[in-house]
Amino acid sequence: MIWEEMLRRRVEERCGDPGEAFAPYGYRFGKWLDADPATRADRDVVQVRDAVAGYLGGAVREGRLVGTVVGVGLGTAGALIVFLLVWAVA
Amino acid sequence: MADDDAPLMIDLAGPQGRALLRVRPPESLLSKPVEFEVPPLSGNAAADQLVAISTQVIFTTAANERDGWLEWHVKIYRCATVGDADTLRQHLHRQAGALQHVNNFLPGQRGMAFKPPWAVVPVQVVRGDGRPEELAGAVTTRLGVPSDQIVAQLRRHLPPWLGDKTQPDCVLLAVSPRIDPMNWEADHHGDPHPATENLSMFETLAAGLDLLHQQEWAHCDIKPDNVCRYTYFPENLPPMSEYALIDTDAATRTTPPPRALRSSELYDYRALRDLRLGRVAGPPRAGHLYAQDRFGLMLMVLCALAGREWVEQLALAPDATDPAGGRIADDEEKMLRALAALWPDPRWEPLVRALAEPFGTGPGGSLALERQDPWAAEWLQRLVRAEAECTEVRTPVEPSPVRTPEAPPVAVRAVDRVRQETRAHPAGKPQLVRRAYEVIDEVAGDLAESQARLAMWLWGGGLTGAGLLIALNAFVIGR
Ligand SMILES: Nc1ncnc2c1ncn2[C@@H]1O[C@H](COP(=O)(O)OP(=O)(O)OP(=O)(O)O)[C@@H](O)[C@H]1O
Ligand SMILES: [Mg+2]
Repeated sequence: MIWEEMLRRRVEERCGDPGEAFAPYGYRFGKWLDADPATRADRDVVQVRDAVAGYLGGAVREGRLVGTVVGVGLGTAGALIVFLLVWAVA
Repeated sequence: MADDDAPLMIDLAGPQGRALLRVRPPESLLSKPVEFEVPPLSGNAAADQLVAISTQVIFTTAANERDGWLEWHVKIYRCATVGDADTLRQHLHRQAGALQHVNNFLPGQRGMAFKPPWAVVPVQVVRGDGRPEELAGAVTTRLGVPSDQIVAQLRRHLPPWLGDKTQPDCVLLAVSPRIDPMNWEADHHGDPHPATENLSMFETLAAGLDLLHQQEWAHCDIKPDNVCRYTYFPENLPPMSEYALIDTDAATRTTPPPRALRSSELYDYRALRDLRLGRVAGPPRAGHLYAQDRFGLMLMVLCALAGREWVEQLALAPDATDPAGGRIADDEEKMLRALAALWPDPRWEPLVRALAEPFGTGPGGSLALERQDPWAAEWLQRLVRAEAECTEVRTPVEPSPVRTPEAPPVAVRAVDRVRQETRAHPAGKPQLVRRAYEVIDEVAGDLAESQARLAMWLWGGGLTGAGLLIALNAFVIGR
């Protein structure tokens, strides 16, 4: 579907390319990949984990924003149509 | 009774077990002439006069059927005379001893003949005549063939190369664990950031280089083809990958230094390059050999951070602006500028400075490189610290108690999915990192999509429902 493509593109614009976003973490990124989730994470791992969560959080917010805009538009149109339909029938 | 199908076996017996190597026939019978300059057999006069020995070398591989590392590299030397073979064997044997010492005294875990960690791959020398060869206090090696069948065996396995006249006592074999060759290409072309995740894989190698130099030995041929990687599984720890040196038979005693160096020219240290080009008069000094190894290490670190192409096409290419024909890598200032152009983000500056410093001629440059005192491990530590300085600027150091801006819980939950999907297939570190970027991209898209759909349904459905309620209220119930 078209809107999904557009949404993914918007997310990339807003959050940036993951390569660029995470390269500055250097070897810490690899450390996070290797880390065992069951054991206590050290500072490097926590840093990267928070950064990944932050990146994904940006995507979540972008999704909600787009969904809200589209939903309000569709909902308003839907409400109007239903309103008119009921009015016509009644 | 000679068994015609009997494989050529090599038997290595050491304190931690026994390896039994089944030698495969060589893939190519092309042999390569290799020249050695080695000390004369002990007991002979003029021990500081090196003797020249010419050999023909061929290589193949072997599979281990007993304890320890599975795949092995087998290098076979053919000497002209038995005397040459004895002299070369003594030299290779001492060389192997120096390597063994390096691996035995690594910081952290002790490296063994069949078991990593290694800073240099351990080498075992095997006599071609079937007699046992013992490396002091370590591994005894011998061809696993009854002595009366050795000639027939060797001829059958290496026929055209060995020729009809070679005696088995002119043949020597050197075996070493076969580890993973690297292509040293940059992961992303045009990536504006150094691949610093590779930095820590040099730690063992750097420490080993210092240990080698302390014994007055130098590898002399550190270049991309001779640095490989291995992964090992220390007890109770996650698997580790590290770089190690291979191709150690060019390693030489630094005292007395050989008259000529068997190196690959491109990666030669400034002073040795000048010698080779006849710009200064020889012979090389011991300090040049230590510096040769350290210069090789510096360039290998750059290969890992920036890719081999950058190193060879830029840093090691003759600098067009230098009338004396020097290279960029012969000058600290030029290296600084080249690295700053490669990684323009000013926050990499501490790392760039630490990387460029030893290319200079000051106390942090050739003066330090040419001294025998340990240098490599400390320099690597300095790089690691500089790297930390660079990344600390861009990310908050201590996660503050009130974590701002809090990521939505769905995002926090998705973080582990990224890691799991990335690790679904085993791969090298750089590939894993690249895969992680793809997965993050994918998961971010999925999250945005599902959240968008949810919001659409909530608002769309809610408003439509509200419209319906209002209409019903106005026209149906209200009447
Ligand atoms: N221990 C090892 N593990 C993995 N690959 C190895 C090992 N030893 C050698 N090789 C590879 O096998 C090939 C042959 O190596 P070898 O040392 O016999 O000759 P070479 O590399 O041609 O010698 P030189 O570099 O001294 O000219 C090379 O491609 C080398 O990279
Ligand atoms: Mg080689």
